[in-house]
Amino acid sequence: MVDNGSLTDQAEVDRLAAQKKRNVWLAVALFGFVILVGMVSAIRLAENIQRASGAG
Amino acid sequence: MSDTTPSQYGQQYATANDYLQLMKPRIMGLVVFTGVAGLVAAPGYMNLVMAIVAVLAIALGSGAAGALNMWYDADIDAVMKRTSTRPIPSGAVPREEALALGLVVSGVAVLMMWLASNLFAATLLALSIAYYSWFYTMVLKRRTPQNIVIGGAAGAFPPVIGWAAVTGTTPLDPWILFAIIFFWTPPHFWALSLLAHKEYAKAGVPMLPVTHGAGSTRKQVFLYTLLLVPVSLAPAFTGLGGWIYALVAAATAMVFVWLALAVLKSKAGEDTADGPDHKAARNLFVFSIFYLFIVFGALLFEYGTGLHFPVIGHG
Repeated sequence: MVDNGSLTDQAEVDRLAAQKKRNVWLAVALFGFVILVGMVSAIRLAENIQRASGAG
Repeated sequence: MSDTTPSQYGQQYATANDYLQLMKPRIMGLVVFTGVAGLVAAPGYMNLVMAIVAVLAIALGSGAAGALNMWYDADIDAVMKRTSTRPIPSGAVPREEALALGLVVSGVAVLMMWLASNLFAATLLALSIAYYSWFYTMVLKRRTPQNIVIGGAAGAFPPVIGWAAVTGTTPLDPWILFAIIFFWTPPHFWALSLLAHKEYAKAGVPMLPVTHGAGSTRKQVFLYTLLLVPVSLAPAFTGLGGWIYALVAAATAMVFVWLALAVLKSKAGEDTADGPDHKAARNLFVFSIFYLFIVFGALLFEYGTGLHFPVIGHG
């Protein structure tokens, strides 16, 4: 006899576990994107300041 | 291949790896490699961080185009054995999520390229994504047996984008690198389609062996391989490639022609084809993958190590 209640519970546990893993990877990707944009902006700013002081 | 978590009801839940598979990581590897070659060979200076971000943008652009391709071609992928385990036909990822991923990552990739380099390189990246995901996937693939010839241009863009990221221009040299990948694509894909022509026929994709027969395909494979030889040697005559590149390109071109000749002489793709015939097509397909890595690797080696000694030209 199949215990449908426990099967449903297990399916829900599996689904939540998979969802949690995806969320972690999404957070890592977003964090990486923010860091990259920050670094690129900082480098651009430094280049522009250098160029401005060179021109001045 | 697909790292999914099946529940006890047989339903599958997508993992992060399924989303990575949507982005065709193996193709991404080849795209990144050729893009880096264009970036390194281009004259001029680029900040290392900016260069890394530009390469990442090329990789993401390729991945986004791959996801959009899988979104549109889910019906074909489900029919063909080779692609039936992909995330959408396997049931791991809903189609609309692949579309969303493709669109969002396309935007991120183009934006990152613009931030790290210039608007021209970002526009080229946007064009290449549109070329693959719209023009090749939605227009050409199901309509013409020349699909992979014309569509091959999509995969040929990365070295041009890499070059444009550094210089903001695209002179002749990056277009020669473009041409190498362009003429490499037909023998590469048609060698595969000689092995999988029944699958393509079942899916209703008009690949050349399906529409014109295996004999015609084998001739075309050989013809495009012959065209690839002078194109692959051209960098040595413009000064882009040096002696090391020239020797590597000549040696690998000879092997490529020899393997294509074996395919031409074989019965690969015919109903009467036997083991050695299939082997000839498989050998060409496998070698063609290594070929592109070796040729672009030679260029990277020359510029990366400073051992770039031009045969003739500017250097």
